Amino acid sequence: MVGLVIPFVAVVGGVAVLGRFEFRVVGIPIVYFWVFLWFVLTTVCLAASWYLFDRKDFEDEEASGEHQRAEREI
Amino acid sequence: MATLIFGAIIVASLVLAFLAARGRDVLQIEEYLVAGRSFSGFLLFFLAVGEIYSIGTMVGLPGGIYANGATYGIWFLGYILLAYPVGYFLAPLVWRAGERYGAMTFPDVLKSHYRSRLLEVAAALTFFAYLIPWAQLQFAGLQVALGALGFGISAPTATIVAALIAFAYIIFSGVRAPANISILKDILLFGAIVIVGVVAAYAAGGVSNVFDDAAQLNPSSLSIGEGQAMTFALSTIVFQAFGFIMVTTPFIFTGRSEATVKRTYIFMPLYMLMYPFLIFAAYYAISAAPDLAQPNTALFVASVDLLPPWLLGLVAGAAALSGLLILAVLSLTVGGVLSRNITPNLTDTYQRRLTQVAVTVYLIVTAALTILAPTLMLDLISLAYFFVTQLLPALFGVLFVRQFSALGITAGLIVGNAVVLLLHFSQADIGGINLGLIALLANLLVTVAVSVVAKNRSSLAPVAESRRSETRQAEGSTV
Repeated sequence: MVGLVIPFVAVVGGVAVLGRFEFRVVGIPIVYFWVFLWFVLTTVCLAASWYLFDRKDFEDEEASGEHQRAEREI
Repeated sequence: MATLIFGAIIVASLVLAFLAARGRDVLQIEEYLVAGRSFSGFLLFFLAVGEIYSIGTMVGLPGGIYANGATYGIWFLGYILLAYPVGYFLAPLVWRAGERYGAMTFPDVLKSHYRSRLLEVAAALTFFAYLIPWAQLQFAGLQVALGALGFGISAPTATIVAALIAFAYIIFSGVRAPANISILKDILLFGAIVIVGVVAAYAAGGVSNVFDDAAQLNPSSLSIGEGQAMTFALSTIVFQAFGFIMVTTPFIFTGRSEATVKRTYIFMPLYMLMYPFLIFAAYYAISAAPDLAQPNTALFVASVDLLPPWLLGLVAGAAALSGLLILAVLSLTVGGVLSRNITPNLTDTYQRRLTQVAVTVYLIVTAALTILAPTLMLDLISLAYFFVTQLLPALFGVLFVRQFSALGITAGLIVGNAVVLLLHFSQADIGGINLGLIALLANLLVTVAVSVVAKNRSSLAPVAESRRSETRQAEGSTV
């Protein structure tokens, strides 16, 4: 849920709050700057949930799946 | 010079399409439609990126910003970005469902899960309703891209040529052709956009100036403001972020494993780092080329101004490839859905032949529609999403919700699509809320209500509850 909830709250909430302002950050309107920032941060969130939670489950299954597939092919 | 570079890119893509079939038995329908479920994360990434960043990106987004300012820009960026977290969680489950049922299309999944012919056909028709505006979008973009080269081909000619090339891509190699071409296209597209963005910012004397100049002409273009525009942006972002998973089902099935699919999604947001450059170019166009009759041409008008001919050829080539590539993938989806879900019970050979006939008809019909009824591109995107997202309750039924019945989902689907048609064509005022979201709510209510009454549920466990080992057993017993 780290990967799903955080980006949603940040992007939807951020756009709702920042969308009405006109000021700039390094020359870019704040609402665009915020969304650009989340291009990278979303990847960070997803990578975090992969390495912290999901990786073990899925790679075990992948290994056993491939093992069984190999057996079937024989 | 521009034409030469452009031509070289198109020829290179055709060669790639042809080579893609080497050593593969594309006569088999599974190979043709989902490449035998063999794609690595690398190929999956490029095919996914290749399909997601359509010509709507290069032509539609700048056009939308040019015409409607930040509301459209933020909507477009926001929904794609948030589609990745959704996909990270749902896409591996979609893949699991695909493997469990040997499915090549989403209606295939429904057919096997619910054993309901009615639901399968309703889902297939919903897919068609979505695939038509989506192809029009690509054709409209291709007209703009080819027009920008300045050798004055008419819009109908451009459309017909485009249809022929897309057809050529898939006739030999099925889904392997777009996957191969997308590597070339994704790199070109990224490069072209960064170049245009950097040159635009340089020409204006800095990023800050780009926005200053745009603000002088159109002060409201830099923020969304409040009220209806904000409601529209937010509701559309959420709606389409979830709808996106339905758009991407065709290539999820090509992945090698659940883990491959999941890992691929982690890196997808990084490709979006090209967007800041595209936004710079779009805002540059607002001040550099005011009063365009056709907002869709904004990026190319800026490019013609700014770039030497050979670079212009590169930009137009990248844009054209992205449109052609997606036409090819869409054609495959149409062919697959028609031959497998509307007219099943054919042998493999006939399925493949019918697929090719369907593709031909589809390309001709959508090309004709594009020529006869041109529309603002971002509106075509909306329309496509209104329809395809109505399939979400069906997806949730397969993945999670045991209580949904086949009849319930079918009824919901029909009501959802009817509400879309009603609201879209009556132009009703709904306070800026995305009308697809309203249709989806109606859809869900009907699905739940009818499911309570008509209890022809699936006898199979929802996909998310079954682990791989059980899946294997289930497979063994049905084969």
